[in-house]
Amino acid sequence: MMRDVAIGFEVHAQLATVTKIFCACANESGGAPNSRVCPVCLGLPGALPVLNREAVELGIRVALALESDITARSSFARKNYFYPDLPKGYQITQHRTTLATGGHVDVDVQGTRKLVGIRDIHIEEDAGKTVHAPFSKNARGSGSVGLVDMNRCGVPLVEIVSEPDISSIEEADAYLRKLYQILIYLGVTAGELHRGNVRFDTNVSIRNAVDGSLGTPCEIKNLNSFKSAGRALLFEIERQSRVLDAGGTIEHETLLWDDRAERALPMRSKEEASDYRYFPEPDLGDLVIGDDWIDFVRRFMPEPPDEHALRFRNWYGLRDDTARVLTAEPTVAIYFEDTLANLLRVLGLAPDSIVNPASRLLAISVEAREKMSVVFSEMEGISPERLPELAEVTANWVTVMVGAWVNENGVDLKTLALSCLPAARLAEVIAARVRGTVNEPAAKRLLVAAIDSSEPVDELLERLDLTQVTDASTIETLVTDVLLLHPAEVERLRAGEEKLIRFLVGQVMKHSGGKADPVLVGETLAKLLGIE
Amino acid sequence: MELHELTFSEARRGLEEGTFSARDLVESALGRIEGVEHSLNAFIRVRERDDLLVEAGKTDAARARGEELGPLAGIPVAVKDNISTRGLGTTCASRILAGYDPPYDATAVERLRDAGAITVGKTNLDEFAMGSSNEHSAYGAVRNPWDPGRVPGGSSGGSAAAVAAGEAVLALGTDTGGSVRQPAGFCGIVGVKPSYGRVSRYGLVAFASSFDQIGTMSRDVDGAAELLAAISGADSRDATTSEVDVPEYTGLVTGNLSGVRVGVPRESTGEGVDPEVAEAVLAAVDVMRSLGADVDELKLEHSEHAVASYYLVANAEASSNLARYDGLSYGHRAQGADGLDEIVVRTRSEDFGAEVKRRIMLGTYALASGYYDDYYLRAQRVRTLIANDFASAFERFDVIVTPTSPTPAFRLREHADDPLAMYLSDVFTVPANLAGIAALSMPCGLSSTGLPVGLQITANRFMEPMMFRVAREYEAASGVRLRVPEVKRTERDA
Amino acid sequence: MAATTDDIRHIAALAKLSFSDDELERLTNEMDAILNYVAQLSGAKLDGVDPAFALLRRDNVFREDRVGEMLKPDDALSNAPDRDEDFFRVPGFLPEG
Repeated sequence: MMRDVAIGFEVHAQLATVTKIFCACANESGGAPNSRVCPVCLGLPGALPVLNREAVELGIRVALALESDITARSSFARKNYFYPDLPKGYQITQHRTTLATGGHVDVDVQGTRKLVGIRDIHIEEDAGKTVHAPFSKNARGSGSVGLVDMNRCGVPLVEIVSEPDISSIEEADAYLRKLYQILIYLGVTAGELHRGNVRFDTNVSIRNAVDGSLGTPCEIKNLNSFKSAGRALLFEIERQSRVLDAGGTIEHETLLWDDRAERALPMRSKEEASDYRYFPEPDLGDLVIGDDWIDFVRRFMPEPPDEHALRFRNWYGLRDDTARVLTAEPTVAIYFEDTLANLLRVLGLAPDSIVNPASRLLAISVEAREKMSVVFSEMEGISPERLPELAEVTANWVTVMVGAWVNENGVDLKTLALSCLPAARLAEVIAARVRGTVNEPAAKRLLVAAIDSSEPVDELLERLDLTQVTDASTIETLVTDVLLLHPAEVERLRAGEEKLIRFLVGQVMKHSGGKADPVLVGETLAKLLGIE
Repeated sequence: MELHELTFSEARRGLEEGTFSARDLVESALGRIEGVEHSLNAFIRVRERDDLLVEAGKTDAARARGEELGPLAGIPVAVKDNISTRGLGTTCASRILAGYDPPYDATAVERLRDAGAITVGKTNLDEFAMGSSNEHSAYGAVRNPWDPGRVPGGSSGGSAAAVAAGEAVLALGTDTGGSVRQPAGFCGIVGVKPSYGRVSRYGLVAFASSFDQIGTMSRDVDGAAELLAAISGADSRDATTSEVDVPEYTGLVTGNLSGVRVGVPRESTGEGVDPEVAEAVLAAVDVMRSLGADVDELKLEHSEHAVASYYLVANAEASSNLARYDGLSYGHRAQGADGLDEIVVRTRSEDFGAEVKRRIMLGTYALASGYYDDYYLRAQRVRTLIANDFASAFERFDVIVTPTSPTPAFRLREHADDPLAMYLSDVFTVPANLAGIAALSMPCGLSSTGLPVGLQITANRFMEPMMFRVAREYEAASGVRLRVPEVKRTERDA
Repeated sequence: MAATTDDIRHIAALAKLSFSDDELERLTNEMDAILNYVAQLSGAKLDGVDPAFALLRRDNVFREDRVGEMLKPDDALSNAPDRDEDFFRVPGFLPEG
């Protein structure tokens, strides 16, 4: 029997700060165990937490992007429970008053739009890691020991708690992917799922078929990928359905997902799970966030993906599908916009200030957008059709031409953009094509050459002799030569075999070493053969 | 007069004038420690004699070269063993921290060093600073130098006894509900609990985070004031420290308190207060009046609830602060247990003393589901009322004067079977911690049995200068600075 | 409200403490006496009175996001009752699940 389900998520994302949330230890991953610790994150007696401002600001970004209400005065609380990699015996989190409440994630589920409500957003500290080591030397007793690494202790987390608004596994997947895209876009997390930068807990309950009320939810923790979230939901929905089908009732449980075994097992004894003895953290003052601070964060905040796509349509006249492809990842979007700005400059359509390094550093923040919009308003001599045309051309270059190279060579776009093919260089390659200096095949060769060497693009054009032949008399000579070499084909063409025009153009191109302007060649052929 | 009998001011003058050297002072403290420690048990660890003499020698050499020295240069200071000192160990007088040596120094200890003080050792205390008698120590009870059959008070009993007996000139204690003032009162010295946020708690092993403050002890008011000035001020590692400027705490005696408004709560001399204590306090108030102070009676509406509010909130915080002691990453770990949970439970059950466990239990209860609203939350609301009482009182008064404790030092084991009775003896000291205001205890006489009586002077938050002024004038006018007592030799049972 | 031994046993489990039966009984009596004493707080008039959570604390105290001093692994582990190279070793650990 198909049952209605209600699914909610708690998404934990490690914030991409330089240091931990309550101490000055580096917030990095990897490295030797217990090499990024201090008295504070080790929970040594007498050590005290001091809040990292940046962690708060990254949290505010998330709240703004999800259109949550930022709490004017929030506070920290201690969540008391025992675990070997929680050295203080409590986690500092937010409980009664959190950073933000409300908001939503706008999810597209196979073409249908759905808003998933957000209950609250809070910031807190991560725990350490315990590795189970059954064969450690000198193990006593049961022979089982844990090896504890506190490097992760105190890494800042933002936790985003959704309402149980999700009603299918597909919606759940779309929600997680969308939220993940937003987090990456905002630059708040490194987002490497395999490193546990982003982790999901889910709660699942089944709706009563008769009265529509929600059943007791069960929680599943430790989901580290979209795939494991989907599997865990399937497992849990089936498990609860079986219990109900057999006439049983669902007891509240916290389960831990085992990805290898593809099953969830009960985690904590009820006594402890039920009583965290939250109380206000006496070592930290309240967090008071006024409008000024929110505006400041907003100003320097990268644009969330939906707004970004919308702006690409509004500003550059891009088609909706192009805008979405470009904004799937911020790296691509930034690279595109940077390249386009440079292209406009190279073509003399925009002033140099359009690529003001400050605006590029700030990427797509409000600050940068305002600066760019000023430049746009001052742009002269560009027709309303010209900008969308150039934007689509640039989008095509970034996603198709450069995209293909990136895929073939296994280099990521960010690396490429920061090393051998900065946006300004790509713009020169595109400009060579747009101006007609090179034809399409030569442009592709030029791109590869521009990536492989550091020579200026105009020198490359010269050295590789890629410049397109557009001189009418040169082309006429080339065409005449080809017509003389292929009398049979000319005859057949005249007899109505039109596709042979392409053959002849190809021959002329070949004859020109690929350099002839194919359009001009076609026109010249038509003229000499007297074809309309 | 022997060197160990000197007050801070006398010792500093002697050093400055070259009457004796820092080495002499340290030698004298060490000699005194050798002579009386057997009876008192004030120290858990005393630093190596050679190290101390080398350090003192450096100060003397610097002085001889005419270098600018810190305000506490060459002064022997004892530090309570719940304040982190790298390389000196920090046990909180608990088995659970046996052998623990912090890899960092408390901010107050850094500042002590910057001021030129010489740390002679770490003093005994009630385990994790929980107690009012210093009987709850894994290192044995501390005795009162005035009568070794009596307690020195607690929890800073070791620091108080050490200063009173001349084993150190100054000491750091900690005060959560009276733990500096009550032992100072019992031992006849000056003990200061500064305003909350005045001194960094970084490195002070937390008992109750919203109450704890490091305090200072000396046989004279200026010593306690100078030591406080040295350790006070904002600290980027403690988000609860205040950025209010640290003013001068010492000053000249003028013989004049005119215009100073002194409030005396009715309960100061009322029911439950030993008549000799009440008499000594009233006499002290008379001295203040004779100096020109305006004295009036005062009612603190909710003071009857102070002890109850304090024990709930402080122990709730303590139950969380002490959750970290599990024997896993530092401290002592119980042997012979199998399974993680069993090891943790056994470590905590074996290595915490009875009083600490009682308080963890009470605090856990106050926060537990179903009890939170009736206990923790209600106590926090009452705390607001108590703070409000003081806020209105300080509109009318500059200082409030009470006894430090209802009685002089009690006998060892006198309250052993009645923890509540022990808690109630803190009735005059806990309100200042609840409200976060400044308070000190200073001697105001001896009882007929020869025991010191402590006078408590309370001032509004960050009004330490006024508190010290009244104390300094009273000290000078009354002449009740107590001598260093003869310490009777006793066989300790610890 | 009278404390029962069962209440106290539950609290002990939360606090990771265990007591013998004798200890538990004595503790129950002591706790009961203390809880009776603090029950006086229900006599205080608390209408409109906020809890003193933020009484003494400063709002918005931050550190800037700059790396400071960290401990060397040997210092971090110097007090460990048991270690395995640079890890803290804890006994009897069974991963959950």
